Amino acid sequence: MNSLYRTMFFVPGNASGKIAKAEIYGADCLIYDLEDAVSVNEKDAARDLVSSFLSTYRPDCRIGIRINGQDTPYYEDDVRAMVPLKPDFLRLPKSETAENVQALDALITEVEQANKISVGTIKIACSIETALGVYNAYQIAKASPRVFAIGLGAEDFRTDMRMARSEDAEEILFARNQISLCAHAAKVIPMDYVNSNFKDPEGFKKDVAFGKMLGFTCKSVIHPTQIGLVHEVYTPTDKEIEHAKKVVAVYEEAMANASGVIALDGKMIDMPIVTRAKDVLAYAKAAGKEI
Amino acid sequence: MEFSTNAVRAGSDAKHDLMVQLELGGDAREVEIHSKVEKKFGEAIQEDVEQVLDEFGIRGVKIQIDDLGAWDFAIKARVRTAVKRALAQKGGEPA
Repeated sequence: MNSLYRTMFFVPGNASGKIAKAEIYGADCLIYDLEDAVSVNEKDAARDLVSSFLSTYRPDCRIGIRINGQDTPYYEDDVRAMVPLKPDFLRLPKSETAENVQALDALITEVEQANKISVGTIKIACSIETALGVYNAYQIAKASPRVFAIGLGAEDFRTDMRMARSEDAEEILFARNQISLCAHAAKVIPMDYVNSNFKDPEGFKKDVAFGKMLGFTCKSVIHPTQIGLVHEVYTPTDKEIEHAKKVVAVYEEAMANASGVIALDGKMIDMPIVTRAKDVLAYAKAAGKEI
Repeated sequence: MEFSTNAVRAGSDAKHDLMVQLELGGDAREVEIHSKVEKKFGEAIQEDVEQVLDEFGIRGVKIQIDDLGAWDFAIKARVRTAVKRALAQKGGEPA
């Protein structure tokens, strides 16, 4: 298992065939969905199915569970049933305030203690899906030490903002920027939004690359074909790795010789460039590439 | 297998899933399995069903399993859901 969260692949919580097969597509993380993918009459069945699967088989990747929102009658039952399975995290939809996150934190703590699980084991990923949530993104990210990632739920956000959906998602640019900025400020993972158009791989790849440019390091995906495309964009290329290695080597040589100015191919190398180069190498290594 | 209107259902008719019909009552376990792979896996399916009934301490029950190539975890999960729904119905609580 690698340590990256390039892809979070949503798996419908009440579809036994999809649950059984999901691991083979190679996502860094699987999220079993108890929320939107499950009809209201089948919430109990989905909980039983995910519980039975994770008690029997454990995929060799990170495991998350998207629970139902705090404004639904399913939320508490979801938390009580899922925490004992020790997923890596619960994904909370409609996170709007720090109080939303703290309430979930308290409930997880109660269930962890009741099940003799070390308190703090289960992390929280927050889906931010409303104008208020985007406005409060930093407070949400800092609301609990359990929060390790925040991301935009684009469809609900558009609805809340009365936005029309455009092909290149121009209307959610500010929200994406705000989520990325707040995630980095709070030192949590910025998760890019779900692009549901899996029939346009080129458009999807362009969208992932744009997200990467905005600072995202993780993309939520809903179709197996999207996984490889995200990994391709997020994983440093051989050319990028070679360049990063040169930058780090030049920097280390200059440090050893106590040189004042550092340059590579006629361009000055300053500290942010060195930091980025080290990040590229660490990311590539975590992705299993030879350094 | 004949069921009354009190019977509950769980599962679906999707590939790799199963449909469970279950009715509590009587003093024996009656289990009927319909599966393309019954010859090879019928016994294993029966064991999965019995294991869940043991978990809940159920003695009197009629169950029909219509299997579409489900994994063991799905068989147990669907039977569990059906039992819980039947128990909730018996207790007068919402399923």
